[in-house]
Amino acid sequence: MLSQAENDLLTRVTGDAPMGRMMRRYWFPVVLSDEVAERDGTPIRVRLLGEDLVAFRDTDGRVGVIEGRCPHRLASLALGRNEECGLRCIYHGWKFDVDGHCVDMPTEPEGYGFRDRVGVRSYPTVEAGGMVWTCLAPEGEVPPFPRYDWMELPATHCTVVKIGSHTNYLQATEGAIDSAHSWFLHRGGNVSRDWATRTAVSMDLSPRLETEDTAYGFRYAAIRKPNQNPDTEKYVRVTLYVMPSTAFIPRSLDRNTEVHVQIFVPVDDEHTMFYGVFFSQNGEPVRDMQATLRARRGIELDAEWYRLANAENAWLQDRAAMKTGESWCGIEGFPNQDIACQESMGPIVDRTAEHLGTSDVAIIRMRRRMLDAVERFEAGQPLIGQDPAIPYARVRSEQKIIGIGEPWQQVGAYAGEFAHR
Amino acid sequence: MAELARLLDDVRPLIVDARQQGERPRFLLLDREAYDAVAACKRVDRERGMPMMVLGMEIVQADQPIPQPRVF
Repeated sequence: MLSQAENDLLTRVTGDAPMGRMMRRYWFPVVLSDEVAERDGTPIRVRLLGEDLVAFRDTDGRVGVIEGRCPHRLASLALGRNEECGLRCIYHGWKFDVDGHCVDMPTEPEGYGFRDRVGVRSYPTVEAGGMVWTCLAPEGEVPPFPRYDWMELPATHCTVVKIGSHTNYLQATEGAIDSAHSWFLHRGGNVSRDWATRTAVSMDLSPRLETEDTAYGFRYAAIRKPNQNPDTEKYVRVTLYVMPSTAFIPRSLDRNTEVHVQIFVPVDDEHTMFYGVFFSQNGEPVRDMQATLRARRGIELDAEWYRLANAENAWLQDRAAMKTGESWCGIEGFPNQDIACQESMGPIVDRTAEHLGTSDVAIIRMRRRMLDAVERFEAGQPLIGQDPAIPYARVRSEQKIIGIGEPWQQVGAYAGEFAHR
Repeated sequence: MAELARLLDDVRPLIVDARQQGERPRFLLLDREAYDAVAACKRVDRERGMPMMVLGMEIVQADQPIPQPRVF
C-alpha cells in the first residue's frame, strides 16, 4: 500500500521525474555484447529511462552509446550506416563517432565550423559480464562502475538471458525480492534444479523474514526450520538488493545449479528489460539458459526481446497442462511466469489498492529504501551504493544451514556487511 | 513524502513481534495524521464498505496523540 504520490514518485522514471533523474546516476546494461559483436555491424536501438539511444561497435572495435537521433532533422541513427569509425545518418550523410563528435557533414560547406559545433550526446560504456553498460549521468557525475566477480568469468561460464516486459521497473524488481511467490508460481517445473534441493532441506512455508540495510542497498533473510535438526539448526536464505534495481538470488546449495542475478533496466515508465545473469559455481560451463528458460529471440521472443506470449493471447497459459499436473501455473520458464503475473497487474500497478501482508517484508523495505534514496538525491546527498569503498567484487548471496543461536547476518556477508555491525 | 511506505515498514515488526509472543493482533491503533493518510489511500475500500487495513490489521484512530502505532 502506497499513496498515489508515493507510487508516482517511485515508478516514474522519464522526463524530469525525480526517480529517473536519480537513476541516471547509476550504471545499467543496455545491450548484450553479442548484439554488437560485429565491427561496423548493425546499430541497435536502445531505450533507457525514456531516452532513445543507439549502440554500435565501430571499425576499431570500440562500442558507443549515443543519442538516438541525428541532430540535423532528427532521423534515427539506428537506421545509419556503421562505417569507417562512425555512424552515418542515411538521410543526409552526417556522421558521428562513438564519442558523439560529428566527423562528417557532407551537405554543408567546409570551413565555417558547423561540424565542430554540433554533435550528439555520447555516454560512457563498459563491457562486462557479456553486456554493454552505460550511465546517463551528467559529465563529471558518473559513479564508479560496480565490477562484480562474475564479470571476470569466460562466456562459457556466464550467460545472460534478456527479456522485455510491458511493466514498470518497480513491478518487475519487486518480483525478484518477493520470496514467497517462488513456492507457488514457480512450483515444480523442470528448470529450477534448486527446487528439489530446497525442499529436501526445508518444507517450512512460513519463514521468519528479516531485513538489514547495507551500503549497496539492503539484504533480507528467509529463516526456516530445516527438515533435519530443527531444534538446533536453522536454514537461512539471504537475498541481496543492490541499488537501484538488481537482485542477487540466494546461490543454490547444489553447486551444479547456476548462480542467478536479476537486473531490471527501466526502459521507460511502462517497459522494463530484464537481464538475467547465470554463472557457474562448479567450474563447469553453464547450460543454454535461453533454451532452458524458453527465452529465445525469434522463438519465444520477438526481435525487440518481448515475449510473443502476452496479454493479447493470455500469455499462452496451458490450462490442459495445469489440469494434468504437468505444470502448476501453465506457463513455461520462470521469468515468463513472473512476467505474465506482473504484466497482468497493468503497466503501473495501482498500489493504493493492494493489500500487503507481513510476509511482503522485502517489498516494504525496498520501497522505503528507494523513497529514502530519492529524497537523499533531491537533498544533494551521496547516493546509496556509490561509495567507492564498496567491494562489489565480493557482493554475493547465499543460503546456508547454521546453528539456531547464530546470527543470520553472518550468511552471505562477504562485502563487509557483518563486520560493520 | 514516504509516509505510508515508512508506516508499513515501522508497523510490520510490531505485528511480527506480537505474533511471536503468542498474541493474535487484529487492530492497529494510529494517530490522526497516520489514520487520515491511510483513509485517503483506501478510498476504494471504504466505498466498497470494506474495513481499512494495514498489513491485515484493521486500523483504529487513537483519541489522544500516541508516540507510535500500536497493535492489539
